[in-house]
Amino acid sequence: MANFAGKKILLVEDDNFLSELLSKKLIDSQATVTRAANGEEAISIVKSNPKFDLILLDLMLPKIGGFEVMEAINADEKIKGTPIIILSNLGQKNDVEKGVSLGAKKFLVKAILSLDEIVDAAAEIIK
Amino acid sequence: MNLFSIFGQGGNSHGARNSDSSPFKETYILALVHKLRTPLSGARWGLDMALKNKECKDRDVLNESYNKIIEALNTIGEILKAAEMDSNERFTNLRKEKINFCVIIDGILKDLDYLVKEKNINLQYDRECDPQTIFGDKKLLYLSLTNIFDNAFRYSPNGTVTVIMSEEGNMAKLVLQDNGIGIEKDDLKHMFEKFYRGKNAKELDQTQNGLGLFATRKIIEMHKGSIKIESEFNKGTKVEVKLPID
Repeated sequence: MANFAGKKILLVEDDNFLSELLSKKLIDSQATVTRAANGEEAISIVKSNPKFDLILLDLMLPKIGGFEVMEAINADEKIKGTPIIILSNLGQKNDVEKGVSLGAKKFLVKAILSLDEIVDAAAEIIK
Repeated sequence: MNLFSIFGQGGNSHGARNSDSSPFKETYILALVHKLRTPLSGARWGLDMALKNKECKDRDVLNESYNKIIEALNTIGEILKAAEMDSNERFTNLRKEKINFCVIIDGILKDLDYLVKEKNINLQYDRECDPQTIFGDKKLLYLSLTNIFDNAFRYSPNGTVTVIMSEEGNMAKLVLQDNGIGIEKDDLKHMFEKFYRGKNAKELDQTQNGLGLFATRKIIEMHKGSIKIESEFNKGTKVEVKLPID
């Protein structure tokens, strides 16, 4: 089982149920989890708390989408380089390429993964 | 976020929707796929969590519910694949690499082990496979071949499925032989049509949707391979796939 003791994870997901379940799973693995329900909130949180070990980022978000969040993070020297895993429910080739070009460490499709698989993927990035 | 906010206006210059327009249809399908996958992902994860709770009651019912959701998610994946094939987007850019054919088959059998057990299949597979290197899109080939194995297992309950790997000239050959429900002669010529399902198959399993062989053949042919199906009603089916060796 993954151990995220001492690690801070930002979970950006607008579907409250998905966010709740994934957050609980991460907390069970000892992570400190902050949740954001839209892109605007995510950017605000990251700018005021620049020490996240990982951001789990949905793409289709209200207000500001996931790619815009990544662009905003890349434009700020203080938070640029924060590891990001995209959690989408599509996975079209152009989305994956764009995510990778913006610096995503992984592009995961929620619909084909279990919670354990997502946690394992996060553990690969947070070492 | 409703469908139309994802969907946008679309349509022709008069603002009316033109359902024959390919990019329009693809955007619509992507929006639908996203709308379906989100709640189903939630249901899947929720059930997964409930089943892992030691005090879980009605485990059998929850387990079956979980399996149904996986089936629904798989179907949505097939719809997405079919939409991609219609738009030809994905299939002009195969991500080719050297692949060990035996390793792909081993992986598929491992992933479908649950179905082998569920359908009580006697699986005959000589795992002493000579490595055959093919050059192809690993993910797409995996998906297309998984479909063939899935069909063999699903439509041969309590039966035998034999897997034979060999070489024929410069082609790697996979033969999958089952003694399952077979395909009626009238259905056989339609088997590779999108959404077509044989009468026999529909009677046995109503949860499948018939997208699989259409996608399977398309992927194999894109790799300059071939797929052939021979079958006899209530006796069994033989599927032969050939792919060029690298």
